[in-house]
Amino acid sequence: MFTTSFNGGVFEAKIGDRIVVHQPFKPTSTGAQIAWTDEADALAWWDETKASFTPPPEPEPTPAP
Amino acid sequence: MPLLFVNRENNGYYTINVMEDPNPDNERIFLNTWGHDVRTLTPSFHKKWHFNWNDYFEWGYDNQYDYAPMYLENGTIQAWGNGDTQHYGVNAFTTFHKALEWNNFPVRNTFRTAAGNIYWSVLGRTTVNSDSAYARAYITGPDCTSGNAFYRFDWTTRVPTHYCWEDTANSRMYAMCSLRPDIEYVSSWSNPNTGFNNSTSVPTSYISNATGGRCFWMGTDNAGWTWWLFSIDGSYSAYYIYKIHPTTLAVTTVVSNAYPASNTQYQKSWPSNLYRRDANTRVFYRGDFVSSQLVVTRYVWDTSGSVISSGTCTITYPGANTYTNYANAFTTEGVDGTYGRNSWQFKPYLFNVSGTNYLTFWICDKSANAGSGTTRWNSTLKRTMVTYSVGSGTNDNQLSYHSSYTFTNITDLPTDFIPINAAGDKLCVPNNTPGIKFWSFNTSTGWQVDSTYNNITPRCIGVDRTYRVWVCTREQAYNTVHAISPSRALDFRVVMNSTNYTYSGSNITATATINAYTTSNTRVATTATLQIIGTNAVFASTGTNTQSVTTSASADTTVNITITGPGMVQIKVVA
Repeated sequence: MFTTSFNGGVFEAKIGDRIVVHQPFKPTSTGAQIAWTDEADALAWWDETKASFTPPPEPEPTPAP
Repeated sequence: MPLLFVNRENNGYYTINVMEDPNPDNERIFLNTWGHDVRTLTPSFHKKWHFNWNDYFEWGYDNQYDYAPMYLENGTIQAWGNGDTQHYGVNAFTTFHKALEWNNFPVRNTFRTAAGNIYWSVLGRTTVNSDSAYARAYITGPDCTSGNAFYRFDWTTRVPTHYCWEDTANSRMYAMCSLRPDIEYVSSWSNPNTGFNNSTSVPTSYISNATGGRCFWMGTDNAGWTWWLFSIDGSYSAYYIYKIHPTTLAVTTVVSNAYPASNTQYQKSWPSNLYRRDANTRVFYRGDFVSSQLVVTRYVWDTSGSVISSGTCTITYPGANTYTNYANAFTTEGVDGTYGRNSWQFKPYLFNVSGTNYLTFWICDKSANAGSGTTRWNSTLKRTMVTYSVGSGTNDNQLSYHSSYTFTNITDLPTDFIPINAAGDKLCVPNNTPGIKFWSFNTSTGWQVDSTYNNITPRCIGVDRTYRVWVCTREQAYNTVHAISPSRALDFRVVMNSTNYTYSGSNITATATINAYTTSNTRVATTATLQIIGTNAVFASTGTNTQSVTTSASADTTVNITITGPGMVQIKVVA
């Protein structure tokens, strides 16, 4: 369902072309924004996180006024 | 103005008793769906809120499911419970607590868009205590007494219940869905005025956090990201803080699984409201019990750098004292270990008086005198709340003991609290007596009770734009509504220095005395506009038939009137 990318130290998860997760740092309990060690580090976090992440449905079409 | 009306219409469940029109141009409040002037409560005939949703309304009537919701511009709280593990952590109607910055980024069950349209969320009868949540959300035009309403609904989860933010730059609306004990959502949809019409599809949800996650709206940062805090009530009140990009809507997790090590479980450590240290810095706190001591964590949100830092505050007590000299951690017998849907909450309340910030750790339990409440609160030390003064500037991580207040017995314990003035140093505090107390903060002695309003069991309490307090209760076997203005003058008394004068061709200078009183008969200082009705008399200072006057809390206020001819006049307070 999700595809992931790791470019320039930024981890992103997508559904189709939509970016649903933009994670340029490793989340911590203190708020300290620690850079990812590498893609494996980011993917390990994502593996733990995605089960509780509610994937957003497709954006709704804009109805006529 | 105590008891206002008793709603005997179908036990009150086809109507919402009190709905303030979020359109400030209308200056209107709907009582039992009929429009009234929000300032004078004069009925506005032919103005009726008419988009009711028959039998799924939340009742205000008889059992634990019934909350008597009210929709008011300055916030609402849920004030009642009757069991340890009822739903009362869900807070579907608690708009005050859902906003961390209630003055700048309020949360409401209704919302007026920049274009003037109005969202209304109507919550179903079984909403707040059931996984099968019913709700319907409407959008109407600027005048909700006419035209059509579009609605959408979802039987389970994602109906917007709390409207938070309209991003006008990106034409997007943000809301929370707070219907279920197990999960809450952040929702968002585009084109706020047209993208929410007669559709059964759900708004797009971007964040949720299962297992008792309570959602709080933090506000936006300088770059326009929206920020949200989830507190997971089920265990350690772990905080997760997320931000959502304003255009891509991608989610970034900023803080993950944050709580003090070894904190006592299940206390429901909610975040305080936040204050602005400076243009780019907002600060809030949480309190936890570790080894019997209160541990306070400060969160500093840099809205320019889009980062948050946290750390433990230092607390100074007189002499060698510690927290346990003044108060003890309350215990959590009766806990719902799954969802944390318990009747209590431990919320620090941050307010400013004369340039100093204070932080009070309010202990609230909607079921203190039922279930295991008697055990949770079985000592005076447990029933004591403590206030600290907060250091200024970057020293706002330095707290100093200021005062404490002991609730004499279990029934004195608050069920919740809500500010009733813009400064936030006056509170309406429902308790388990049952009844209501009105509190104010004294910088020397701390919190004090100014007046009481007993013998009612509040279910929902709200504050309208005039800071009038509305209370919905169950009395006389029906749903009843009280309107109370503890700090706002309701009773103006204007007395002439004589009831008649003899006019013999020359102007006469007369004097009127004016005083203003609250519902508790306390004389207060307030501003009013007086108008002379009749002929041949004007106010001496203006030369016209109107005059603005400011009354005094300690002495009579007088105005001079010039009588210029024969006639009969009266003086009215018109605003």
